[in-house]
Amino acid sequence: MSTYLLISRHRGTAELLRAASAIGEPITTVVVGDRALADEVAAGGVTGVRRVPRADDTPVEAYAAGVASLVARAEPGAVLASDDAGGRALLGAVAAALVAPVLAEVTAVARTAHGISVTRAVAGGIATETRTFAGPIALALDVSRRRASERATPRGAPDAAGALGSDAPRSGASQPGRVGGAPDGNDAAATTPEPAATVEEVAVTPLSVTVLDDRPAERDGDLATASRIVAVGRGLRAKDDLGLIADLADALDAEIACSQPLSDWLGWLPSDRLVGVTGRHVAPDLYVVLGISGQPQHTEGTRGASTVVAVNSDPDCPYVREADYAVVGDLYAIVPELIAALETAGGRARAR
Amino acid sequence: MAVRARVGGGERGQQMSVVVAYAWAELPQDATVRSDGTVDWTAAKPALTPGDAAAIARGREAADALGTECIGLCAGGPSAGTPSATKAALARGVDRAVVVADAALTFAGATRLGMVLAAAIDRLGDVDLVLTGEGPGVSDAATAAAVLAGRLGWPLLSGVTSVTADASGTTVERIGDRRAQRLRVAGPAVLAVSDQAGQPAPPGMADVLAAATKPVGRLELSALRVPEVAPGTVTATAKAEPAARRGQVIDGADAAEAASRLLVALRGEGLLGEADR
Repeated sequence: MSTYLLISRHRGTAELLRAASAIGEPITTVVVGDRALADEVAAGGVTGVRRVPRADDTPVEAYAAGVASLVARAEPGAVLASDDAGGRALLGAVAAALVAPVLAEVTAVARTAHGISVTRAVAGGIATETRTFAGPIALALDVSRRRASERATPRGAPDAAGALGSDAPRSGASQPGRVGGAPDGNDAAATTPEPAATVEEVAVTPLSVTVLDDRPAERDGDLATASRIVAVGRGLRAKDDLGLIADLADALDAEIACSQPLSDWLGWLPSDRLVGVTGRHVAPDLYVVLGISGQPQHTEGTRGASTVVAVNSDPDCPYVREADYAVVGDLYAIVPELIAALETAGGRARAR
Repeated sequence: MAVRARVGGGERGQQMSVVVAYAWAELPQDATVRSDGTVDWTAAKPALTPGDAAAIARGREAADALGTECIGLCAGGPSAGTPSATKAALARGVDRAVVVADAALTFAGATRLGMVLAAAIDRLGDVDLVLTGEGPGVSDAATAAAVLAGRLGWPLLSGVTSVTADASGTTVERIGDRRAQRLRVAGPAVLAVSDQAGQPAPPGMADVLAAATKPVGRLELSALRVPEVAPGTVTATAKAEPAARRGQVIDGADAAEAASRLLVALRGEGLLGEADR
């Protein structure tokens, strides 16, 4: 049976291809989007690409019913998509059509003697579970978590498979048995690129949903979309000191978040600022942590962060080990210096 | 699969109801991981999520705008049918609650849960707007909403922060993937309401008292005839390990020097804008 990928954007394509290749079956991709995306995927070593043209004013989700019919007719053994709004909508419709189990927050996929083995985060991410399925399955891949877990080598250097970790699919990524996400983490070296697959155009009539307005989200407090976040914990001595944190957030053009004590116990910040098992799961480019020790209840919400910077006076706290950069010192001394240095450099930081 | 998409942009009839599919599930904040890697849920208490509370509030508003009723629908294990569970939804504004409470649905997978909800909505009839809660802690609920929408043949829109329903359709605002959108849906839809849609005030005493008088209907799981979904075989469980990080430590004894070193490192990674150079 074949493996189907559902792709509607560039981000996460490489991770999806690597996960699909671990299943070891021919990969067909349904691309809902423009020809450039379809061509990019076709060059990634898949067997075939079926492109569903999408109107500019119609969201991906409107094509879910039609895509589900298309995929169900092929009777795939596995269907994968990224764990985002568009991917989930497509995947859920396919799972309904196949009456197949659908799993979210998937971090690893592998072929075993008993079927397809799937590892995913459960219970808010405090644990992982691996299940093996003999029949068809639908998998929502947590791309940000997978990307963070694949960062086994210093940034900018090739990873074990020879890729630089870009969002573009790599040639040769579809090597059967090259487990980009297998539980044992094996990953063979890249081989000779395969010729690009044929792109088949498939017309799908969307449901009646129209985009009236589409604009970049402003820095509007949405932690889920923030590219930079400054999070504060019990290292903050008084509520009035939140002004210092706000100044750093302004200097970095970042959103403010917190650990559970500051929202649920002290009420210094509203609950929608909470990051952790019971709060938001975030995936910013930069996550600056001030006065938070790094217990799993909080860190579980930050696994998708690309770079973590911790400032803490305790050299033995978990975050000193679990950050990319840990400044061991008093945040009341460090933060003003950071603000001054950022402002001296000629203005506020620009979010990428 | 019962496809309930409407053809064309016909007017909504007043008999068309709004359904809020809410979850009554143990939240992970009090769960722990045993030494064998399995999750211990015994200390975790079931509750409505902030996303569900927001969904009920938006559902109430939509039903009022349409002059129709707002029905709360919940599918889950036996606790979903308890008075605590139904009153939690009734006190927040639904006109009546319908529950599918069965031990077979305890920790049921997203596909089965979504299909059960779709079958229940088919039983209710005359529904063309379904809202669900979205937010931290219950990822299977978000996936179940996608299966529900797929089973109904309706679009699913996630990250919804605002819902405006009128006689000819629904206008939705949402945030996702670092973009803010406003969309118009001409037909029926499933809307996953973000917990950032604005939290309603907690129910007051009058709401709690009124909840006790509102009707609760029950649907038997066996009567819905939802196919079984293979759950797979658990082969490994483990406590989550932290992601690999660089682990570079900077001595903060000289705060100015430490700040400078940190910013040099971050600029080197391209994490700060040109204005900072």
